Amino acid sequence: MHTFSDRVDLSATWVYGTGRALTLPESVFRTFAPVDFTGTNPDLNGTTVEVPGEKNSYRQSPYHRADVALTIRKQKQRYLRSTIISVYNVYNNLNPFFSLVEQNVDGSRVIREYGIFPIIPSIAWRIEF
Amino acid sequence: MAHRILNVFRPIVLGCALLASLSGCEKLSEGVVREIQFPEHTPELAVTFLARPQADSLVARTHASAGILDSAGSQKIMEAEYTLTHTSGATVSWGGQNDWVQGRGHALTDVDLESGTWTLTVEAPGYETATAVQTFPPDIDSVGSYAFAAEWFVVDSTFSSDPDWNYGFRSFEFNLTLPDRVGVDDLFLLRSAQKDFDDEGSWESGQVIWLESLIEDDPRMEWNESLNGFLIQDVPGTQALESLPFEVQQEIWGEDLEEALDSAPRLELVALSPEMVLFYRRLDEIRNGGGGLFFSEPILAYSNVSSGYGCFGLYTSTVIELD
Repeated sequence: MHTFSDRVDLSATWVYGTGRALTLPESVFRTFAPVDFTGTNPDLNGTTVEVPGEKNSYRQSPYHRADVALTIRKQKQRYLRSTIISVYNVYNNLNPFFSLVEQNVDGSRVIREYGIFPIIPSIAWRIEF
Repeated sequence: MAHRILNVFRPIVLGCALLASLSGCEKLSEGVVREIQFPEHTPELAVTFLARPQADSLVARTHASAGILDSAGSQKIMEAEYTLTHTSGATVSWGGQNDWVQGRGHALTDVDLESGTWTLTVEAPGYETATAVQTFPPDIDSVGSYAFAAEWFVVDSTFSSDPDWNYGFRSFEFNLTLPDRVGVDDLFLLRSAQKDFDDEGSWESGQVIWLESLIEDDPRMEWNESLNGFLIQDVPGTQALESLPFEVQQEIWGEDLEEALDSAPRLELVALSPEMVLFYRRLDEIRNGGGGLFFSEPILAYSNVSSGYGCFGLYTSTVIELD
């Protein structure tokens, strides 16, 4: 944290963590269930099954983000007013929350990581009596 | 001083907010593609063959397992050849291009398999041979040493008729008692056998049969989505497999409703091998849990085939008509 004056502070933090261990499907196969167990309909209901690899054998991307906050204080007659401008995840890194195997429109399959929190700017006022 | 700083930071903050809405949200919805090196996958035979002792036709299908990033996926193998060998030495062979029925698989016709234990061997060029062993459960029937007992009565019946639309509804209470051998896992499937009255498959006429358990959370049975019916198993400490109560509902519609109402709802009762139950139970778990939710532990599919993929299952079955 850096203090510019009695009235202005700037703080920043950077968080880093190794990516979480992950179990991913490594192969797929097609299988079926009968439509009819007693009659003559030989149709089958097909499904594709994903077969997971060894437990926790993969790792998600590392978790990292930077947050900054600027605090500006102003003494009023009856109270101290602070204006806090902050930005969470300032360089908008998509930290993975979960991963899925997905198929692109061209048919290729990829591992896609999804995050929840992008860059989040915020502004707050604090009044101290 | 503070105002000056605020004036300098204001456009930066607004810019960041704009960036967040433009790029951050896109990343959120689209995700980020990540390159992961997967071990090379050696394709294996994924065999599915489910057989009963007598049938006009049964279908076996063999696919090649595929690596997860393989865009072609699991491909069918039309050259696969099957051999069933009984412990007595009797053999049944089919498969290859000649027995391939488009859209289905390798058809085995005029099936007449004796009870006992069978070994399935599947061969295809370029793949390691896959084998599996299965034993037929006893013949499930209303008479004999492995007999079930069923009783039912109509609870509700409505009938509406007009020139354009005929509709009928019947509700039955259905009680089933299943054979339960000491020291042996007896496993069953109960499901509705639907029948369309219109041969052309349109919705002009037809029927739907619904089956529900009358005991909530009965530990002896579970709904299996893959097999579209109730899997029933003896649970120690319960009332064995006696008096399993169900409600059967039949909805019928069509031009000639009276004729349709004369047709009794049909249920399929199937005695399954333990391996077949394990396979489809695990498929449901994958579908409902590990395969669907983001945070659940992935579930490994069960297989009794030596390749590690697929299922060779034997069953006996019968139809119960609620007439």
